[in-house]
Amino acid sequence: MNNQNLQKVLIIGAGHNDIGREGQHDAAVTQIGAAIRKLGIAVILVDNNAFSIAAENNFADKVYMEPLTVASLSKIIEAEQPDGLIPTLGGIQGVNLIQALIRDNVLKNNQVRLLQWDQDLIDLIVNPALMSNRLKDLGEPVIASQVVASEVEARAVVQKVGYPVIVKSVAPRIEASRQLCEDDDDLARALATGFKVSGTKQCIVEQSIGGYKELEFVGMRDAKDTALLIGGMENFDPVGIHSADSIVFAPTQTITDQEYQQFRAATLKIMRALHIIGTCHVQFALDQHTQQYFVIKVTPYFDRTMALSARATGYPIARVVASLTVGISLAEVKLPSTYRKQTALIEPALDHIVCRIPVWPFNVLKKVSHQLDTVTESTGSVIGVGRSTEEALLKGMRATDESRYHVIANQPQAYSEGELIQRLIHPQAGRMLVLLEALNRGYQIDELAELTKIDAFYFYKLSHIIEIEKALWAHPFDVHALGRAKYFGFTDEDAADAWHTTASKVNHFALENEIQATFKEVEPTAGEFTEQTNTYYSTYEFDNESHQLAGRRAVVIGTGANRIGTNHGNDYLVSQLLFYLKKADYQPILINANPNSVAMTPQLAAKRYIEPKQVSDILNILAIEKPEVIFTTYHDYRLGQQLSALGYQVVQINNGLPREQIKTNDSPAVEVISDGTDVQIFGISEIIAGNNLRTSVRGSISVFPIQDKAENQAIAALSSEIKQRVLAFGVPGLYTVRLTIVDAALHLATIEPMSLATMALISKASGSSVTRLLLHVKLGEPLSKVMYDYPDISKLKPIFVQANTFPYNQLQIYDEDEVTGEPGHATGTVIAHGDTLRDALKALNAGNEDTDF
Amino acid sequence: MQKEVVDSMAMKRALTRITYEIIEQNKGIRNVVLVGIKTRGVYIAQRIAERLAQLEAATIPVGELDITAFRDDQPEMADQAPTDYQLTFDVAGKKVILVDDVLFTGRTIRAALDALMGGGRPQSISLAVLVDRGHRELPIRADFIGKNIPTARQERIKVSVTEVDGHDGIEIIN
Amino acid sequence: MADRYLILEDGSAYLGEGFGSPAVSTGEIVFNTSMTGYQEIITNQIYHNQIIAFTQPTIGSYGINHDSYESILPTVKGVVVRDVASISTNRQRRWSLDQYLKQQNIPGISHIDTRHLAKQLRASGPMKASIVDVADAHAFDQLGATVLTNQQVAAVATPKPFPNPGTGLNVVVVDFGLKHGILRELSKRACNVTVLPYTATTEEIINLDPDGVILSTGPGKPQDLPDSVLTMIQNIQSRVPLFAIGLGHELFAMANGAKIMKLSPEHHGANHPIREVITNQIIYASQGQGFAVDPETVDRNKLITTFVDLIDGTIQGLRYRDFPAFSVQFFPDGAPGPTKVRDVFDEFVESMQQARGPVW
Repeated sequence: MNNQNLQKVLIIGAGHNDIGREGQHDAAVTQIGAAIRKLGIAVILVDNNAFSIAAENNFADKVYMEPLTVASLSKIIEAEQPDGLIPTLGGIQGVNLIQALIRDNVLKNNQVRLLQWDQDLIDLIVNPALMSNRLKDLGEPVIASQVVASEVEARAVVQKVGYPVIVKSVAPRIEASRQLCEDDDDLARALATGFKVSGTKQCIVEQSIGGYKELEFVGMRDAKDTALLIGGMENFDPVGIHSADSIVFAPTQTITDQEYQQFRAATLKIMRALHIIGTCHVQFALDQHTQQYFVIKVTPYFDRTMALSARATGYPIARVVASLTVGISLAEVKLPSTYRKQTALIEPALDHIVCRIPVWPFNVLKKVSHQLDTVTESTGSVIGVGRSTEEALLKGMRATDESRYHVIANQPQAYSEGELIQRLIHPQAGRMLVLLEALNRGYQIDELAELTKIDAFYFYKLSHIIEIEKALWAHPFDVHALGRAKYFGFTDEDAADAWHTTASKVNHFALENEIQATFKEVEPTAGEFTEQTNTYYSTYEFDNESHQLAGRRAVVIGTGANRIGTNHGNDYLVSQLLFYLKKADYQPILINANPNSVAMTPQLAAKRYIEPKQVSDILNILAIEKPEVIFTTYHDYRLGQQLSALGYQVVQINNGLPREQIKTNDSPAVEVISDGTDVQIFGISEIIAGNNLRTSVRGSISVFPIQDKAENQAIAALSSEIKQRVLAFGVPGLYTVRLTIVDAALHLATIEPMSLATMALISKASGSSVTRLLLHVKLGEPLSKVMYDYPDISKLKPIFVQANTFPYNQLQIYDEDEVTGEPGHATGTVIAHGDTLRDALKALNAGNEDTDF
Repeated sequence: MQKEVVDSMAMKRALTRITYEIIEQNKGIRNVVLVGIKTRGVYIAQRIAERLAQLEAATIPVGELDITAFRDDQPEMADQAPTDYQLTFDVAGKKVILVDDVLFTGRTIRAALDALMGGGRPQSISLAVLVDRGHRELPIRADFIGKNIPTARQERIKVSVTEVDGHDGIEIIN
Repeated sequence: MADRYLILEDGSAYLGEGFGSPAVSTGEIVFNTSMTGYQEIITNQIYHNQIIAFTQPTIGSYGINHDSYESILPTVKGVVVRDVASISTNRQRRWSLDQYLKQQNIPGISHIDTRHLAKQLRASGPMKASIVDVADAHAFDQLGATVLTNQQVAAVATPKPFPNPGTGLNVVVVDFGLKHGILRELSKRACNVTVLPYTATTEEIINLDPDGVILSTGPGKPQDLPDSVLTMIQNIQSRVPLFAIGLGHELFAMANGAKIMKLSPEHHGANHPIREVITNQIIYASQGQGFAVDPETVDRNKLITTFVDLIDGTIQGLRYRDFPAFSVQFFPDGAPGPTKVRDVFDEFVESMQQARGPVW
């Protein structure tokens, strides 16, 4: 059923993951694609993200793993003749592509309707100045900014907006920063430099709103003009720190109803005026002294904040958007029977608090400035969900996996007084420790609020955390102290640390005294109605709402924080595991705290726990679910061992990053699977140096399959040796057997677990999910039963190539020692194919000319 | 210079209130038909009809009237034979509500009355306008008024409707 | 802070921590799902003699504001929360919620599993409850024996007329325990307002020569009010534009023959979709209702249903067919809650203007 006569729609994917872009787009595509297909409309997906889940597993009717370029999209549109185009799932890159498709009349000539948006909205999105004018026309306040060519003009601007202002150079020839000016002297100095480096001899003078409170609101609107607010979120950090790098709370914590309603009304007004169908994210800056606000940004396409609001509210955003996109109204949206009938129309109300905490790449990329400013540096984020601000914050901090000691305030930091103040004024990543330190040293709350521009409310909460923790330290094995600490988000491990004992001893003590974790559902009506989202979080209260699932339960420990390198592909693995566990008649249960993770897609797991991965957090869940089997992946090896030692059946999947970086040409490898008694070959891969592609490639390119007669023969000759060596491992799994050429003959070199990237590469090239195969051999099934859908190796074509993408440009890393292109620095992976290697490489490069490979 | 005096919200409210007043004064909607004067009067009539349908779960006939041929203030037209006005129903015995966007001199309404009377004998005719701006030249008054907007004679009132103009609103232009 | 208990009529007890006043108090407990606006809710007189449980877990985070009062003196019997922000040295020298409730002699209790409480109340409907120091048999006996007054309006409505001067239309507000939001909205529209006690007679109202009359919000069950109120409404509604809100709406419906029923579950929040019948548009508005107009008893020859709650089909607005008299069950002034529905006040003002005729 749809009201727009659509038979076929096209989705442009978001491409490879990157800083500021994890799985949220792919997660939205999986849900929206599946929901639209259910309405009887065919879905065509174009993407080049090797780790796209939506591109596998029938989330679309047809998938094009093709470059995200105008040329490639035009060809697909001509061939497919879709009726509609969904513009909101490809990020800003997708919007730019659509702008070009409209400009080139591709949509018009093929009678493709742009869904969700008016065409002129595209221009507003790509040109902030146009958007700014439009908002001004609507009567919404925007930040005053003006291009100036002289000091006189600049002063005229200051006359209007007042100090402080920010001066930026227009089209700077060198890397130029934004200068904050407090007075005429600052201004003169900033302009002098600004004009000098500007290609056009111009500067932009902009009203500074640094230090204002930053709020983010997400609305939903249908074609009948019904509009509702999904939620309001509040940044802990003030304006001046990119909101992706800010700690964010949902719902808003410190604004009054008048302020909240003002933003609600503005969000819905903007959506109505711009005729946006679906969701829209509007960012605001608020000066709480005057209640004056500014609209900072309007984002009508999927982004991290929409993913966060979906996770935080339990409102089925993507499902609802799918219906609205094809012309169904909010009143007509059909949701699964687990939701109340009118849930799409009910404005979400929360009875829990969600705290989102950014995750940094600095443990790997050591030379990046840790200074937080207006450029995104975080690689992702995690959330903590709790029933108090303290609990949500502590759980969020814990979920970053950095170290639980992060939240322990009693560890004094070795800052001098001056250093501490500098760090308070110029915030750096992981600033929470600095704030706690300042409180510990006796800084007054109002003083701190003034220095940091963080609302005093949060300092009360931090002080409370310190107070609880001090009480915990002062009272070993005290029921009250432990109860209180747990009630506000501390764990067995924290208490064990304070009491110089073990976590399991604390756990016993807690259970003896009836201090027990309870789970509450994340649902959008604050308990007013019965909703079943099957998503839970822990707290320490009276009532427990999560009960053991019926059936064969398998717990999958999710990726958690999206760290650089290690896990941008791991989420793919986890999602695939969930998908195929369900197919294998398991009830998959996910534990994960990453709001952007594809694995959080509601269809994948039977149940979700939004929890950190500390052992005591996991044990609380296991106590309820008592799973038949637990799956851990690559980076959770230690956790897997701990659980195994506690008597749980744990399947450890150790596919992760390649063991070493190979940058030489002609390094073939045989990709195999083993069930423990037999070995089967997927095909031959090769790693080639990037210079086949273009100059200045940091990493390397993987190729699969290699169809070389001579090589195949040589490998056939080695097959019994390969089999022997792989079986010697004794563990069912996926392996990459590297070969070397000695005296012009191939020899076995090393064997290692197959990398995640290779798993994705083979899956996409063969059309057979390697994760499914892995899962089944891990569950003890023989290859003879498992490999039925793997195609004949000799018939595998075309050639697929794959490259890692790196964040060096984004993070402004130019130091040759740091720019190594090792897999551990990757933030994304791009895939392409062609009939010849040359064609495949060309396709890989298309649209990625500016991407760091 | 243009000045928006009624925004889309207020315009929507005015139409809502006119609708309720039509029910109040006609003691329901039995026998009521709407006749919109082209161009914007027709859309306004349709919106009133939609509202009546929502409230009373009944369809109200909406006719269109093109009165350019009847206007006595446009001498070059006066000699032409009246063109057929497009009513798909008979107004005889009906309570006709004539709908226009702006009531000014009253000449348009007079012409509309001429046209209507030529097509049979309604039980009654009443007048609904979105704006009454004053400056009448004939003894005509509206029964349902969205908004009284005092104007200077040389000013213009521009009513915009989404169907024609892409947005709703009322502006004064001088 | 001291351990205290929230005990309910059905025998359940919740252990929590006291804040605000240490008094023992009893009232009817209801839960509110609003995401913001604790101060407005606590000071809304519709909650007279009631204990409010907030589902939003952190309450009190910005203290008490000058412009967020909905009455001069709050008369709720208690505030139940998961977590009270114990901000003691307040910003801008505001009172903290804790200090404010102490001054007003209202007890609060925190650390309550308010989600469980809400689910319990959703199933049971409102119950009598007490905030006490000890949850023993004596406390439950006391709770059981307490008879809650049904004279709520008399307790909170103004005993004497008072003005709220303006330069525009002349409006009489009949006070049943009004929300300041009503006066705020009338002030914004420059109305010259006289607030009269709910006992005002038709003559007293007409003698003020009003352009329109508002029947205000208020607490309790409309059937508990004297019949003279209904007579007054019947007399006024045909003479001047009338706008009735909340309890006023229920009285307006009764005056025109409809019956009022107990609503379970009640509506306390701002999340329900409400359909405006005439435009078929869906709106959101602040609600606080324990009673509703029974749709079966509405005389359709007399009244038109103008707004309907899409969750349970309850009537959210009525209008008299023959003259400009209309009502809404929800709170069109927001405070707290969505503000777009404030244009119902514009509708009222325009009705008054229309009734007066053009100004030239």
